[in-house]
Amino acid sequence: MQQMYSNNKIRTKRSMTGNGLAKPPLFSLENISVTYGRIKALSEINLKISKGEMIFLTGPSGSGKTTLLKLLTKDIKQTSGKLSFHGPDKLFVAPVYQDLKLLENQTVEENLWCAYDKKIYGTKKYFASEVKELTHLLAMQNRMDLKVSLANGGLRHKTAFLRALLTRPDVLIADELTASLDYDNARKMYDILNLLNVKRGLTVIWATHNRDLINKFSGKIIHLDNGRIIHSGQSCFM
Amino acid sequence: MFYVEHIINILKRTIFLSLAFMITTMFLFNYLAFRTDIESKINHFVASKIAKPHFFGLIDNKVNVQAVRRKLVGLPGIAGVSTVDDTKIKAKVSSIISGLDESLSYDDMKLSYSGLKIIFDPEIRNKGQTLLRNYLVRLVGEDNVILGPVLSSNRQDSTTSKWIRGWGYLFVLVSLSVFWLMLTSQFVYRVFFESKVIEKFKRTNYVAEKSCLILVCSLSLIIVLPQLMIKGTVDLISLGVFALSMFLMTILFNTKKWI
Ligand SMILES: Nc1ncnc2c1ncn2[C@@H]1O[C@H](COP(=O)(O)OP(=O)(O)O)[C@@H](O)[C@H]1O
Ligand SMILES: [Mg+2]
Repeated sequence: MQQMYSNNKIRTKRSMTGNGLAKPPLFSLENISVTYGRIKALSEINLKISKGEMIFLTGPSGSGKTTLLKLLTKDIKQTSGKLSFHGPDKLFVAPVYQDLKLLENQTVEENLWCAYDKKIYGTKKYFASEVKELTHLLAMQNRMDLKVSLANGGLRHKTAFLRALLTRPDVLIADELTASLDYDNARKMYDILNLLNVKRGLTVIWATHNRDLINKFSGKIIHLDNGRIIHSGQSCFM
Repeated sequence: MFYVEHIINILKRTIFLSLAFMITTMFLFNYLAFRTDIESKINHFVASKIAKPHFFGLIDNKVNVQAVRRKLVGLPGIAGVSTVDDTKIKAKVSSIISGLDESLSYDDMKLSYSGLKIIFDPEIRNKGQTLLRNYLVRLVGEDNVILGPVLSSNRQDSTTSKWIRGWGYLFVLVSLSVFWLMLTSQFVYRVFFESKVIEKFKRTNYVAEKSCLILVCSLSLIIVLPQLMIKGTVDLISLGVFALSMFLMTILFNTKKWI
């Protein structure tokens, strides 16, 4: 069986773009503000995100993490400022929403099949084998026929995560991905993302308010508070 | 093809809603197309049911009127016999007797008469009606009865049929349309909801809109087929109304924020 991880040439080192090296950014945000009525969710954000970055977006609840991610998935528009998308012809951004947005009356498997694209996988069989592989990795292969509305929080998060991952995106956006997962499962997800990040240059933007978790993973940290970036830098753990 | 598969999946998952939606669509828009035909058929049917020929008879109270009534009811060709309210007699009598003989006056009647309303079966022709009237005269004796002319319908009945013509069809049309709107919006909502989510995981846009377009095309077939089979022509106006309503609904749902 052809393994998804063996398709592309392995890049051994994560591209070090955090310091603004040669690569053009995928996203560039210039003076971006978003307001909801009188609430200023983001104020004058300046940020560049390059291909192959692994970014953790941290900050307390209400600091604007979700708002920032929704800008990148084009689900909302900025109130002011300039947001530009670069990169491949059709930069594909796959989201894991904070509220997951699963199709509740369908099974776990049916939700995963949302990600099937003939142009990318060629055959359904190939997609199915990849589903099998990834669901094994996350130990959810026995609960594929469960209706999502009946699934527990962990399984729901895994389903939403794989649905995004299986689209083979250029950028994966994850909002509070590990909210209802224990450390082991969070670690597994991180490892999968990290592998794809290194091998395929997958860009990951992962929002979480769980700082303990971040300290155990490596990546670039962008800390938001009250709609502003107050700190940005590499996480201490490597 | 992805969009067809997508629509079929939604249809399968909401099988009862989908069936109700499709059947109502077929009924409503074919009703629009066949409106004149259907209404003239119903008018005809209602008229035949309502237009019951009948006549009034005044019978001297020395005859057992109830016995006469029972006898008449049992006869073939008689749809019903009812006694006329005593207070109504006064009003009716004058008109009936003036139709019979001008020398008779209401005062000659006194209160010694009871009124009967005899209703014929609609199928009974003139000859049969005369036979039955003659039978009644023989039954009670010529001197004891005064018969009014045969009337084809009464006022109350014609108001019923007028109401059906004026408001009944409108009522049916409006309630069918409201029901259709409810089902359709429910269904299109589902199409939009699922499409908008799925779209985020596809490298295509306008999944909901394209799905609705496919839906409109296939439902147009359901609407047109009966017309082609029965009439051999297609009513473009009803088809246009259908397409336009679906188009407006799609626009409406598009303004909603789905994610
Ligand atoms: N749809 C909305 N309408 C009004 N206010 C909102 C909406 N979404 C978010 N907000 C507000 O914007 C601010 C930032 O929210 P959010 O981006 O969800 O923060 P986080 O994801 O970091 O918890 C909060 O004060 C929140 O109440
Ligand atoms: Mg949030």
